[in-house]
Amino acid sequence: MRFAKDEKKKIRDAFINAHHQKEPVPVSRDFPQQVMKRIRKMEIDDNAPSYTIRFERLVWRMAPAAFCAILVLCLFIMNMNPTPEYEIAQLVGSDPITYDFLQLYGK
Amino acid sequence: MISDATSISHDLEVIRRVLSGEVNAYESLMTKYLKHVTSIVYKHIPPQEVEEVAQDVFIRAYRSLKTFKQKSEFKPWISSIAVRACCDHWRRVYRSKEILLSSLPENYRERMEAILSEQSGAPDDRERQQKKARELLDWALNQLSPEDRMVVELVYLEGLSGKEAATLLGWSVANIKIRSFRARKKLYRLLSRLDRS
Repeated sequence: MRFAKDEKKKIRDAFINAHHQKEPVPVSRDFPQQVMKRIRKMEIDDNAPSYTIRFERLVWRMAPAAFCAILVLCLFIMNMNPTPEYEIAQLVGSDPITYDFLQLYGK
Repeated sequence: MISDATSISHDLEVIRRVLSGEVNAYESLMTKYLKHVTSIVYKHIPPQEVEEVAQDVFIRAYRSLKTFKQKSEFKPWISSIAVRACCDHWRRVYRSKEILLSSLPENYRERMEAILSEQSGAPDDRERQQKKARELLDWALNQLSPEDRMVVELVYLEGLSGKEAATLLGWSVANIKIRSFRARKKLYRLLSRLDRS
């Protein structure tokens, strides 16, 4: 069924009245405070450092530990024998099985 | 006129302060426009959700304050944010399918007949009829898409011009006109189907 022009007008008028009849809703008294609280929280979150900055800070915090580890490694390397061939020859000499195995390859 | 100009310059001054880092100054702007924003929101949103949407409006406005053109007025700017927030609210509701809960109003045929017969009895009867019309309207609006719903409310029910609605929703005037025409047609089709059944 299609509405006639005057029926459409009646429907429209009824709907307009119904739409304007809605009672305004009072908001709570602390509405501005609630919004300001959310905004301040938002500000803090926005000003929080990004992941890259946080990563950079973490890296710098670990720098002394990394420096110590490098120092210990350096000392260990300095105390090692600078001619490892001697140690390998010694190892092969004391282990004939490995010596035979190496002979197969002509070494 | 002078008071308007003073009010605008005062708003601009507050906005400048907020943008320069004085966040608390925003509260005075919010208090000033709270009534205006809620008066827009309550027309489009169910009463129990008005406060939440109004909060959303002020937070959105705060976030977009940097984009506010210092030569324009704050009131129409925040009005357009309020209308768009209402539209987004309905989009969210439709996405979460909450709208399906709104069932067909009872005695709809009687309601339609009452509207069409336009019986104007005692004030009590009129009030009851208005309430029934409201329920029917709510049901019909729930059947429309969020965009159509907003256009119907702004143009058909509030009587805004195409240009005004276009400014509020951020669409073109042509888009508003087309949508308004189609949405109105859809609304009458829905109502006529009710009448037929």
